[in-house]
Amino acid sequence: MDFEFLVGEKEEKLSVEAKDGVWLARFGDSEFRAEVVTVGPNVFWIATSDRSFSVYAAENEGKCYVFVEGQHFCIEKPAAQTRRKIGTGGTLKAEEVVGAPMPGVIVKVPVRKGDVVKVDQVLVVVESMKMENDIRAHGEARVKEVHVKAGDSVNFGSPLVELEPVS
Amino acid sequence: MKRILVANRGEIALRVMKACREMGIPTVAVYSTSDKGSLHVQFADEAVCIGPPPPLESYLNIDKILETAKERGADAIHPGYGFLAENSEFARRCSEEKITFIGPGHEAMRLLGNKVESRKTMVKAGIPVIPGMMSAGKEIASLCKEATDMGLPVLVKAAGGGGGKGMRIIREEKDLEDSLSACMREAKSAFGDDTIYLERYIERPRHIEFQILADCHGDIVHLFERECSIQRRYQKIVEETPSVALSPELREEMGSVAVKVARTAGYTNAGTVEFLLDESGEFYFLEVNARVQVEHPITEAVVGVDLVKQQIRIASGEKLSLKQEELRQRGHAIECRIYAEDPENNFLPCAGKILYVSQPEGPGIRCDSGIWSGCEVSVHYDPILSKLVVWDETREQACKRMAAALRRYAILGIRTTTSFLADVMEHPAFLEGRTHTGFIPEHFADWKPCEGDGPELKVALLAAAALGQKAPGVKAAGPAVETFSPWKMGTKWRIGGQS
Repeated sequence: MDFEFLVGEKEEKLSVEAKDGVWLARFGDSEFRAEVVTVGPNVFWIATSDRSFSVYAAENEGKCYVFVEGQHFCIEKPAAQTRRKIGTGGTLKAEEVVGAPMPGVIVKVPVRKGDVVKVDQVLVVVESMKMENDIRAHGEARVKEVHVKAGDSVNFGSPLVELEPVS
Repeated sequence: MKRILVANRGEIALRVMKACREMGIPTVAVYSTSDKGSLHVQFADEAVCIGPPPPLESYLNIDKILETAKERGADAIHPGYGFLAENSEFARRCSEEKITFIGPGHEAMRLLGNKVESRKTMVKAGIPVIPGMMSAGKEIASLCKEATDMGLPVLVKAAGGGGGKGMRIIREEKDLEDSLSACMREAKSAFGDDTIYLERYIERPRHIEFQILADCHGDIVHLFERECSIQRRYQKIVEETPSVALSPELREEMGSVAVKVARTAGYTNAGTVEFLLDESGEFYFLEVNARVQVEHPITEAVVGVDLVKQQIRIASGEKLSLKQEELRQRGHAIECRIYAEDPENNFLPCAGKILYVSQPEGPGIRCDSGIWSGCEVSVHYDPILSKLVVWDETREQACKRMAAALRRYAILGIRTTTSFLADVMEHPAFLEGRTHTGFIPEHFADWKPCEGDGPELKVALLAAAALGQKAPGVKAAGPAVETFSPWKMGTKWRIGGQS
């Protein structure tokens, strides 16, 4: 069985085949045997030839969160991830809708439609959990549309402003 | 005390209730609709819903909380930290209603809650303070002038606040107006008061605070220092005790100043006197936190005192049984605060669902936590999830114990500060004790979790493949599920009865 995963920006391929209760796995150039035991709904014990691991994993909205040896991984199916649209040199290459990174209330929108913004320029200030948070431009761009005004409540992912490439 | 209402939520509500239970005092929890079923609600002997999630309509609703206390026969209220803990009006209303407020008296609290008034009082008493404004203001133009007269950089603070909220440092004249108005807005929304004041900014200071306990009979002791220099956004994230920066002489001097501060303010109950210690060893009084502190467990670990129980005993009028000359520090304790924040993205708060939690346990490890597998982290409240506290014989061993515990702490579903804090524990500058309040910007500005070339990634992918058992050959551990369990049958049956 073949799996394709996205970890951060990187695509990872894993294929596994069950044989006599053990997995034969292929990952990159390496082939290895692993014993995978479900200890509880979110708890696995995974043993490879030289080590064994206690692993926690849970799934939510198409993302799989895994904890191994102090490292937290967020693993996605490739289609679920939106591609980053920033080219090299800090300029926007394609249109981008900047969404709210958290639910909250809009404090201030210091940009207007048509403004050209620079890397790290503040687009919107959102208050959440009693703190003001600056939402900044990832790259140089022009403001195509502004969707919010001071006082608006926004949810996670609500569109705040739309950006388009400058040229 | 017959019954204590705990006017808080999360880990601190739970912490207070555990002390009450051990003292044999029943507790009443209050909660907002979004906290129904949360840990403090489950733990309490009684629980009352007091309103919708926004704090002003629930955890800050004085009328509703007092009404609930009377209705349920609670003769005392513990406010925890945050929310109403340092609201002198709330303390006054409690005493009006003949309900014991477990904290300082409202007069002392009002004085200390006003940072400018308390500065003036302390200057008169000969306590060293940071040079700054002697009156607060809300007029941008005059504040700008004060700032330029004082000389930049300056630190802007909310006159009615604390905890880093509404606090900003201004280094350049062109930022003055924007920063001042942002600070006023934050102060207004956090404390309902947009009055602010300015003081000279001290470069690379250490944040040192002293825990004090004062009874209602004039006895005051200090329980030594906590160093809280590791901060992000002017809010503490790592605390430890003892501080490597204090010699026994300096410790004694600062401790006696802390006691003097408490005496000057007419303070009772548990409190914390905060100081800044500059690089030359000069120290300045900052403010008094008139509440139990987030970081109180490290003092408990090193001094061997239960501060919440002490608070309750003091509030019920008992004399302090602790004697200054008998108090000692033993070993070293560190606390790391686990926040729902993204350390890779300027510590932006991350609300959302926690899918799974596994907390570290072991010798010398204490985890005060308000989260569980499946809980929602609400946007309405402070993003603190839990506090990991370790004790060990030496600082070096405590750092190792903390790093190892953090690397066993799994929280799935949202970003948290665990990996970041583990890296702080292993950073050479931290291990050498070279800490100051700008430590994180200086050493961890572009922090990323280390990826390593170990086997973790491939193991994580295996788990992702195994999750939901869509992959073949995953074995289930534990006893096989009983198909003919009586619990699953629809027929009548009885346990152990005569048939």
